[in-house]
Amino acid sequence: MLSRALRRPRRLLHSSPSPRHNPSQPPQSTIDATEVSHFAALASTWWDPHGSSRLLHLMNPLRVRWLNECLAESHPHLFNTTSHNTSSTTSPTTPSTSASPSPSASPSASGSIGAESRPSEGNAEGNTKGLKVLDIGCGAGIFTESAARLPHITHVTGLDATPAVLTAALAHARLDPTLTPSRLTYLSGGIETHPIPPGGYDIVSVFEVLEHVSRPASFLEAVERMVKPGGWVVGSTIARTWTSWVITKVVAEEVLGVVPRGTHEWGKEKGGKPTRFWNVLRLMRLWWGWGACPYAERVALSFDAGVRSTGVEAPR
Amino acid sequence: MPPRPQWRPKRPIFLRTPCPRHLRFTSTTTGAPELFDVVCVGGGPAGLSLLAGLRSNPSTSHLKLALIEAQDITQPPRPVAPGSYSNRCSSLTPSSAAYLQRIGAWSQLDRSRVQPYTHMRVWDGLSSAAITFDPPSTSPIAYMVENTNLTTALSSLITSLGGVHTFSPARVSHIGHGPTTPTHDLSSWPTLSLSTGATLSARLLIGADGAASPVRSYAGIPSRGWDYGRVGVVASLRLSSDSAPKTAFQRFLTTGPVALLPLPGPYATLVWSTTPERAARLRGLSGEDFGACVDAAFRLGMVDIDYLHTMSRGQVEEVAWRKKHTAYSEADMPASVEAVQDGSVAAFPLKMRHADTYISNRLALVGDAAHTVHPLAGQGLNLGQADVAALVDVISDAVSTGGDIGSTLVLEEYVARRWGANHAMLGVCDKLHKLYSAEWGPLVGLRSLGLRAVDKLGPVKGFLMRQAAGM
Repeated sequence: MLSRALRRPRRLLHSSPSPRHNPSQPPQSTIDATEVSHFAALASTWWDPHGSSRLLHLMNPLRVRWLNECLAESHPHLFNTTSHNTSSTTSPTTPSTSASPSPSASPSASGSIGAESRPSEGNAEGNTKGLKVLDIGCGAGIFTESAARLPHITHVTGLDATPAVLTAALAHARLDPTLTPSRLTYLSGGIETHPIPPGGYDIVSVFEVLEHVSRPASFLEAVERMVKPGGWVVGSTIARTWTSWVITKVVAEEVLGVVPRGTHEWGKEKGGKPTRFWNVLRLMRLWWGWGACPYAERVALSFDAGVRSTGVEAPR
Repeated sequence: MPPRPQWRPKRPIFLRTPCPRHLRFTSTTTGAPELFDVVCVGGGPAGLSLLAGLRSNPSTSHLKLALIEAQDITQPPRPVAPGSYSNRCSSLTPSSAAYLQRIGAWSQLDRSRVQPYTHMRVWDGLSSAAITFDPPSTSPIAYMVENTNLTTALSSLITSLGGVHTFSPARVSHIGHGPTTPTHDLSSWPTLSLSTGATLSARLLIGADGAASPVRSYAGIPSRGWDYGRVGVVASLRLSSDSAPKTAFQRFLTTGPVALLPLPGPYATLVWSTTPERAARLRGLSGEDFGACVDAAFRLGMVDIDYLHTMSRGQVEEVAWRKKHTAYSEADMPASVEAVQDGSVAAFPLKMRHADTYISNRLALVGDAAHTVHPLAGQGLNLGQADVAALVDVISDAVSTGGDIGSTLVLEEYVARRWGANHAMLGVCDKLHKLYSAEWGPLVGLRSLGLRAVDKLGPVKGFLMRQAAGM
């Protein structure tokens, strides 16, 4: 179980590796080839606000808001210093300096585009204190970009198995000068081969990914190695209940046609028969439409779940 | 749902003055435009309120903002004489006032020139059916504010908050697309060339540039509606006495409503919607004759008023004589006009316009650039303030969730909040104008019956009051 495992990171990561993950053998990929080709076909319309990914775009602010809530719980100082101090550091309270404000103010879009000058990348204090994020299954970067714009996040790595969607992600990131490579990087590949940075990531996100991988349990084991003790794994997936089948397969794909046919492959969706994922995740709440639904477990359609690594000793 | 026009990479349009050829493609060749999060074109009440709102909101205060205004707003305003009032006044509803208070602009107003009023009397020019609004509490129905007082207050708030790059006086000579470099593609960023030579690229371009909005034309957003064939005659007046309690008076004449709204002391501001011919006649009168016509507009019958407009002078005596032979209650009337402030009589055409949408990629319209409303309910400026409050809210939400504030995915929430509400208000004002322009007997009877019924029905009246207050 992930939560138990995270309390004992040493044992999990070093003493008793899972038999399926013998370190002496190259890790098996959890990438599903048919899923890769399906999403490659969607790459070009990913950022179309009225395209097939519209629902993902509409859900995204709720996910970020919820991530912020998780972070406010674990890192309250970040929210006290960055978002509120920006106003006091960038806005002189003396009326005399206001007509032509000082260029040292660090707005999110400053400077000019040219070979020699690049726009600034948020405020410096945010960069030193900020957090590192790994977004697994980033697609064309809907969550990845918005995470990279948050002042308290230093850097986001978007990881996806489909190279075509990363091309779309990179093309879209070019439209925003604040999304420089020092804030946002995209990498192609699977989680098993992704190198763990020293100390691990502060936040690992797996939004709408688990239903698309071939072996969720091994995938989650790989995910838990990425996050540092005290960090967060946040994610969402579709539960395997009849309500979610009706809504995702019948209503979304067939009746309304808002999601391309074949996006949700029923066999992989979680729920019903509890899998390892749901055993270990602390169910947070259901977000659907515009607000939080209080009957999360009963409706159980698509929920965001977050688990905080509680290990205090850093794995060696 | 209206169609959502996408960003059209169409032929650049040249605004106001043709742009020299060497300037036309600066943004796509050598120029390095300065990048801003928000560039606001237009320093009127809507634009200034938007910038002040963004600066005073903790989650958006770090955004890099620019203001472009054709008039010089960097100079301190000229001091005004105590007894002299601008002829461009607006009534601020309690909800607009609350918004201005929230962003910190209310305390910057010259309060000695702001007049709240607690009572309102509206009646029919043909039947004298009336509705009286006198709330049990002393909470104001609205606050009369000179537009210059408001813009000065907002300017000084922005000055004290700092952080807004002000280009004033500066005109937009060209709006095009941003450059494409090996690392970035700003072709979707509206890029403005100014008459001062500066080039600005905007993550979000705000059109707060009035009814003839060049920004709206650039985005190719159609604005639909009609002209009323009427003009609004405005004037600053001194009345024979200070009314107590402060009351707004409006009478629906068949040519359009005439309204007298209280300013501090014995002063009042006039908005008289009438035909262009009658407006021309009124503007040609002496101050005394003009004042007599205003008195007559509230007291005499339509036949008398029609006759007064055929005279080129001598209205004072004519009105004095006709008043003696007309039955009306002087207690229900505004105090008579004593003097007309020199040079304050002006006229502007009345029309109804509504943009098909308020947004495009990296672009949003607020205030008069988005809609123009008949002034009979005094809502024009308030709709703009409500737009601004909603847009600041939407931008603030997007910033705290890492959104791109220029994307239509973010901005569509702004349209969802405001388009329908504005359309309803535009429609109500339009229908009221049409209802009261009618002279057909049965219709006059019905509308009088309706007005009297509403006057007697407390809850309905209260509902109307709350709607008008923007609550």
